[in-house]
Amino acid sequence: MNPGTQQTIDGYLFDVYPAADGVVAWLLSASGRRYRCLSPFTPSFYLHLNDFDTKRALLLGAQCPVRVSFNRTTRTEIYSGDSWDVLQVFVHNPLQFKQIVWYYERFFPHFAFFNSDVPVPQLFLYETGLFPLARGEYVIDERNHLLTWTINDAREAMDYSLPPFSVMWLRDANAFVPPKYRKYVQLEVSYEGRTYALEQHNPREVLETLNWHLHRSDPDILITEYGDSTLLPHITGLAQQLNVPLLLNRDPHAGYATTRESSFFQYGKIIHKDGAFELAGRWHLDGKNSFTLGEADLEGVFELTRLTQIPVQRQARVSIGTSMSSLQLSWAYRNRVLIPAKKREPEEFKPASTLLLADRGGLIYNPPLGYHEDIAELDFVSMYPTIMVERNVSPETVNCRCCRNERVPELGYTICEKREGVIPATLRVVVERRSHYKRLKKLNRGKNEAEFRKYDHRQNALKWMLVSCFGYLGYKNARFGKIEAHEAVNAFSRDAILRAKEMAERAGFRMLHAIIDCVWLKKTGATERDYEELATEIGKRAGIDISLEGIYRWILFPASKQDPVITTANRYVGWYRHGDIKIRGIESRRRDVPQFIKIMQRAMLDHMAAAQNVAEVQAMLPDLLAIARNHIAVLRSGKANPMELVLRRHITKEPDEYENNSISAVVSKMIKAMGVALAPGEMIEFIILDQSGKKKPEKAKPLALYAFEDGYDIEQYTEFALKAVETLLFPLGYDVEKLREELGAGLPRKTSGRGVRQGKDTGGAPPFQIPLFASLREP
Amino acid sequence: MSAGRHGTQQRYPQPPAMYSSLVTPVLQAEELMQRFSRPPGKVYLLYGDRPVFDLSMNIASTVVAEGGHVVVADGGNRFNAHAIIRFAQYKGRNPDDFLRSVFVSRSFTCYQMEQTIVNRLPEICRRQHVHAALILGLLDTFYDEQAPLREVRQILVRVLATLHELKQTGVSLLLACTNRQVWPEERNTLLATLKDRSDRVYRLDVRPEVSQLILEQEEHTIPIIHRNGNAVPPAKGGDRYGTHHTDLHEHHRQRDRRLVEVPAGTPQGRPGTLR
Repeated sequence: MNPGTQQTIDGYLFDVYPAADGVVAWLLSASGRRYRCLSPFTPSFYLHLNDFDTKRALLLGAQCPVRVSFNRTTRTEIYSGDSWDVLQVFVHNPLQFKQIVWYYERFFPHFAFFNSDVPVPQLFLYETGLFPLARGEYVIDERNHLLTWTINDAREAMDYSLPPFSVMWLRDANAFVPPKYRKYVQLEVSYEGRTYALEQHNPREVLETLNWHLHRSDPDILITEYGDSTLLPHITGLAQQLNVPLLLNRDPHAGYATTRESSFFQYGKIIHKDGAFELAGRWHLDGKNSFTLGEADLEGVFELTRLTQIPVQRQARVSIGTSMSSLQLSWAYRNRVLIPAKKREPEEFKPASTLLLADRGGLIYNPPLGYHEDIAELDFVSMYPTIMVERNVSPETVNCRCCRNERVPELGYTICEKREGVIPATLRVVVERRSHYKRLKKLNRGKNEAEFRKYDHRQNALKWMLVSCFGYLGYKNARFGKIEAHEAVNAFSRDAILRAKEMAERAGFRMLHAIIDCVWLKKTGATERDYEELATEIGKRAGIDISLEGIYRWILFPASKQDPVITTANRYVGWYRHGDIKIRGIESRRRDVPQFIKIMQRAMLDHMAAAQNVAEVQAMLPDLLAIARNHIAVLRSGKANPMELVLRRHITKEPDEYENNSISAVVSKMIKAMGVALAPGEMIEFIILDQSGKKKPEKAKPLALYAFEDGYDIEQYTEFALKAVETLLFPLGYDVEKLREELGAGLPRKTSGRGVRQGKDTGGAPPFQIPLFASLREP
Repeated sequence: MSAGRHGTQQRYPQPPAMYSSLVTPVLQAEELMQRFSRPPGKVYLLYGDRPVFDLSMNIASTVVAEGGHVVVADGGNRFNAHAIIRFAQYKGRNPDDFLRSVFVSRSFTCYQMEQTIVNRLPEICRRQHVHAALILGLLDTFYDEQAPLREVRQILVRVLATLHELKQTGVSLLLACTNRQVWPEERNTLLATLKDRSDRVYRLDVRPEVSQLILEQEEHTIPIIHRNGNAVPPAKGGDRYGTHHTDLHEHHRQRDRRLVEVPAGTPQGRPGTLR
């Protein structure tokens, strides 16, 4: 381009990341060209200080290691709605933004800081109103500086276009166990419908071949499995050792953006999250480290990234809570509301009598044990999000200073009538979009498979946001959260479900079961139309739509594992009249149950699909016992496929911290002895060899060390199988002991051993594979 | 300091053992309870194993049984309304009356805890004429690794300053904490700070036969110190932050530099016209 000339690019905003003098923005033109441009940007945060400290802050600016400038301005404090005088601190090197915040944090307390812990790319997008994948006309100059743009797109748009992305997959060819557990990985890349194995004999050649493929396909998206935790760190480590420059980044001036793995508590469980390995100018998405990608594919990631304004690579890795938080932060920017650096809004002091009333969840009504027929299930549609949106439940609106209306049932909390809260304002868009996509999905069912899948992925991505939004309201670190708002939502939900119960009972229906937002009703002779009419009435009275999920031909509420005479609310299985099955909480659905047991139970359930009522289920008893008998016979013969017996558990501490001799302790210590570092919250996979530890002290073997001749603990796996059968047959008079007798599973058998060895001697020099534990030396 | 020096060895009135994890009688508890429920205001620290919270609930219930009100700032989700109900039932009183006399606020982060104690606690004590406040698990939120230790230490200073101000208004404060080793190890110094800044420190020694409160420290208080060496001044206005008021000026004086005020700047113009 000649000096002084400008170029207009019709395309999409692809990637944004900070640089020393602004942010780097990558554009993808509609014709398929890629542009790297620089957009000047000065990120800022706010300090709320008294006059004396404001002067100090200004003076401290002179000592600052990076150029800063100041601006006195006003912004709104969210809870009071008051306008506050604040000092806006501009940081003239976006790469140093965090450091400058830390610098000031040494001098001022946490509650003086606002908008100070938002990542720079998000600050840029919030302030400019841009969003990832925004279609528009972008004007750049001859130095590739982004001068101006016109967006022909909207963040809220539901019908939007996407650029034609080029995609490359990079994975370990031996996907049997995660690469972390292997000494060597065999890389393979796939693009344009072909897969190439990198089987060179020299590490340098492997890297150069990878570079050649990257150069040839120049992918916009690099999708890996375990790329964050293992593949890319080791590939780049090897490249550094051998001094082979890699073409992973499209931007040759930028480095890789990496974060560390972490373990944290969430809802009483310890969770492990791999670190991130992000590229510049190209997206790296790890299928094993992205909840959204796993649940909703790329389409779901694109849907969320546009909506939340979080750049794609981060969006794919962040929690649903962070996505929701970003929606709120964007709202705060648009409305000039201050974002506190730390959530500090505590619970109001309340009498213990009120606390006892308020500190409850949704309503649960336990079902009667056993098989039932002609039961209808009615579900409130997105109950909690709808309550938050329609009732204006938000941290700043519950018990506001200005209104006195005692709107919240039971608790008497007030809800503001004068302003819409941040939660309803941001959640409304999500509720509407999901409902729109569900409609489109339904329209395309059976007509256009690609469109059907697209809308299904989009609505699925949004579904998780709606599922999490209520819990996030009470989360201790939620930026805009308040416990009274959380309690108010529960109070509204209990009120709605009690109304539903009253109305149903007045109309002659019997409520068998209720769990938070669903009711199971029965009325002899009631038709689908009767239930739909009832649903319409309830929806009108409760103010939340409720729909007929279906009428069950039969439904089973199994006995609790702890007490055989009672049921649990969230375990049931049944076949609808419309031919679908619904399974909740039983073995077929659980992640901690071996595949073999799931297959057996599912075979029994599939057989029961033909039963039209409970009497027909009872008549199937001999068939069901036969199915179970066949599976258990395979198990007891020692011929079950060990890969279907793998158990998965999350470890709660580091291997050395285990003081007992539990299976998790034994297995995690064996994995550690292999040289693999395990962090709390990580999943281990193993096969039980001898649960008691009497015959084999190691009790179980990690999958990575398992050989077929190790066998498995027949008695333990038989026990698992019997319990799964008992879940279905207990109401028909079969408990574990009776099943053991009936199915011939009473005689203890020795631990099996299979003399099958895996692997073969190929002869000659093996192809080079990247070592993961051994030293990375060139042979 | 040893057990049995203060007060008589009486058995503190306890609910039946089956209702409490504190299954043995606690010697010396009477002494703490009597001091806590009567003026002048003091900062008491009660630490030990988990039963410190059961004992705290019993002490709160006793204050209510005598007609008082109690405020509870709960930092570790330790408040147990059912313990109060059982106490009222044991005494043959209406549990609702007891519950209405106890005001609770739960905090889940140290930032919330600070806000509760510094801004809300004085106000509720004044509004409800309360002279007894319980702070359960104050340090539990301070042990959260997500909160930087530097910030946590600053918060603790501000919290303790508020507690001592409250004490001056006649409010007795009982801080109940568990005694546990935490990681990173530097955070274990927080309990030591709390002990130093409390008027009386009791340790609950739980034994199979009989538990005992051991008075570890009495009637000495190290004043809360600012970094410039002055005791904490009474709060002026709402701003109680700024623990480094003089640092910058001293730094400049020492190095004989002129203070330079940085002029307020304006941000660079942002490109883009959005439709």
